[in-house]
Amino acid sequence: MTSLLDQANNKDNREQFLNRIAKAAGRPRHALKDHPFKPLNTLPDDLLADKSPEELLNIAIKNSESVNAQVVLKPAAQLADFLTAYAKQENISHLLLPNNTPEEWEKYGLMEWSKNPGVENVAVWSDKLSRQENEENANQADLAVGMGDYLIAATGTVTVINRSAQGRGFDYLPTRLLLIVPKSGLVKSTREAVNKYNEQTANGLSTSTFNFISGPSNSGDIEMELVVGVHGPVECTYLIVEDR
Amino acid sequence: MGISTSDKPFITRVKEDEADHFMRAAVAKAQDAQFIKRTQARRELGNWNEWRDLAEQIRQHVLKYLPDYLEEFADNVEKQDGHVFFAKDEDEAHNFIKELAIAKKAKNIVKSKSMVTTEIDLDKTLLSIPGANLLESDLAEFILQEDNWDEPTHIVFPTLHKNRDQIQREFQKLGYDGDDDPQHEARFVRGYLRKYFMKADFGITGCNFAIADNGMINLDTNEGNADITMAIPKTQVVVMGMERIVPSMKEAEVLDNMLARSAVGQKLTTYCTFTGRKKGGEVDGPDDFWVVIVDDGRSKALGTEFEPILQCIRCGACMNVCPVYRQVGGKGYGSIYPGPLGEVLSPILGGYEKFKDLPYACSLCAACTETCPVKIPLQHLIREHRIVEMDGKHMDHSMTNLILKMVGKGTQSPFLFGSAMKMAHPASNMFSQTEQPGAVEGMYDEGKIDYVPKIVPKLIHGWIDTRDVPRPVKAKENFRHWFKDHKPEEMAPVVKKEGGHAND
Ligand code: SF4
Repeated sequence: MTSLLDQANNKDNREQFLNRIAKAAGRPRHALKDHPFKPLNTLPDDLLADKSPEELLNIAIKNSESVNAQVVLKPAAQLADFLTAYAKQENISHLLLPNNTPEEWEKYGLMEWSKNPGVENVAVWSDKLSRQENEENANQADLAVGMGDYLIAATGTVTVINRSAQGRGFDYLPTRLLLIVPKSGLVKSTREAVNKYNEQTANGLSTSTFNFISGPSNSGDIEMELVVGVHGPVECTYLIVEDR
Repeated sequence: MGISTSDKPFITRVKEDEADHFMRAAVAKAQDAQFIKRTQARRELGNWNEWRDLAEQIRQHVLKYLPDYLEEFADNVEKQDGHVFFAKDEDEAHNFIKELAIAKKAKNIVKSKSMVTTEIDLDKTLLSIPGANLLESDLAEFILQEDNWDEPTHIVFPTLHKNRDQIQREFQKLGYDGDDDPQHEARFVRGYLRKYFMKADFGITGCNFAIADNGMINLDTNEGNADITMAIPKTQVVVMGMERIVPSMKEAEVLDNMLARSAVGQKLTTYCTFTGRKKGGEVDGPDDFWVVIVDDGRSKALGTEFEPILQCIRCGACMNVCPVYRQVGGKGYGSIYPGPLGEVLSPILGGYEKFKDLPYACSLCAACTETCPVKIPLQHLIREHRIVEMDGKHMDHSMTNLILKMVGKGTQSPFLFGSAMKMAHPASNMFSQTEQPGAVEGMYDEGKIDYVPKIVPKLIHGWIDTRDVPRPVKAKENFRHWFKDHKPEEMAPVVKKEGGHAND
């Protein structure tokens, strides 16, 4: 008996399937190249296009709070103090940090803080550790402080990508997630964020994941009552850096 | 489970649901709450109908060039060293995944909510692997699994029919000693599943949209379970209905926005993720990435009047507005796809024999079509099924044809028609009740018929079982006699409008 597994990535398996459905539809294959998708309107690009940067920021804050994200605005010079105080206030005993380069930390004036954040146990997500060690660290962490790329006004979302310094488990496993986002990363809509990632990809960005995170994990599965904090973080904070 | 959730006849299922007062109240509450949230979320976006036009265009375009888009997607997955298997039916799909789980020596399989995996009966297949464990990680699916794989009620809220006390009792079997507060129950599941997640080696997810031009898959969830399912296990299998594809992330983000607003009244789900096989330098995510693209009867709709149902993005809005769903609840439909979506899709995927009743569980009010974010003409498709069943498939013809032939003969002959009118009142005596507690005064002066014996043909049962039929009045009191006996006492005055004619 031949194994079904041999049929994965097998030309016959694919061709038979695609020919069969093309026949069922009564339409020839390979007609797409002459009929690429052309959207009938520009709504996704027009969304919030008439708003000033101040208005966009206000919309972003309102929408972020409506998804139970905590929003904090600080200039770079105050980030270290804020993070230290925040960790203390939340009684953090296990902190997880990304393996940022010195330049990446310094962009936010956090090089010193990252070396001495004032928390008892500090782990760094890094490709120098095994997968399991990283995941265990993330699972132990009661706070992860990571880097976000864009803050989306229309949906109250912060975006992150998967990279060697900050993996998937970094964003999902800790009890609390705090994402640092520069104010220059404020965009109108999910469309604008997608456009920016497409540009970055065309310029060489390589990642397996674009993640759009809107607040802490939640569920309405029990009697439709909103429960915050199911599998992912139970608290989510966006730290917006006003002067970056 | 497959697409069918019950072997009981439709009418029995409906009767059972009728008696489930908690479920019916929960469905009504959910529909009302979702109405407010959904309407608000759509209003905030603005230009909702133009967004629907765009969403419809995206979905129709993709269906028109489906083989080309699937080919482009498969090429891009393969370029990332991923694997794609095209499964023509349920058996091929679940057998493939079973073989893969065995080959990978999977011990702890974790799944995130996916309708298509339920459709292909994947859970049962995987549980048949000796030594393999399986856990559903979505909170609702986990509750159903712990309650002996209970049937889902809704595609977005599968446990709508369960209350917090029932859930508390299920969790107590797993060691939960807290109260019935949903927050505490959910935290218990978080801890329970986290331990399992940490040792999971084989992850299975569905797919909201496959992205043709980069080979990624797009998933929308609120709990974060799908993302953990894609982070920790070294092997990930994505199971997707073949129609769940879009040209690029741009079209996906349009549909993600519309899906969240339509399904749960959110602007976007908490986690909206575009993902694929782990790339160089990254620490976690799947080393091994497999996509199983499933037909399982969908191609029967392609190129037919039913093709628009493949535009569906599984938001559940149609069931949230359906007056029949409000009464029957999800289980009454006997399909994992209930409500208007299920009335159209179930007979296509599961056949008319099994689901012939579903197109009749509809008042053709069109509320579903009105709310559908991708503009599927649901009530037209439901009607189309009725036409196929009656004309094309000649289902239920024998006795119905005979009765209608007799009615035809009877109404052609004045003598027979007159005799039937005379006999209607005395003949209905034995089925009529004159005592009508609770009935509106004057509604059933002659009593009403609410019972006919079992041997009476189905066509007549169909009327009597589900409606209050007034008993026919005595022949000499019927409308014809009344009309004959009454002459107008005075002509109604004709008022002439200014500058117009008397009868304008
Ligand atoms: S048919 Fe339309 S409204 Fe119903 S689930 Fe599908 S997309 Fe949503």
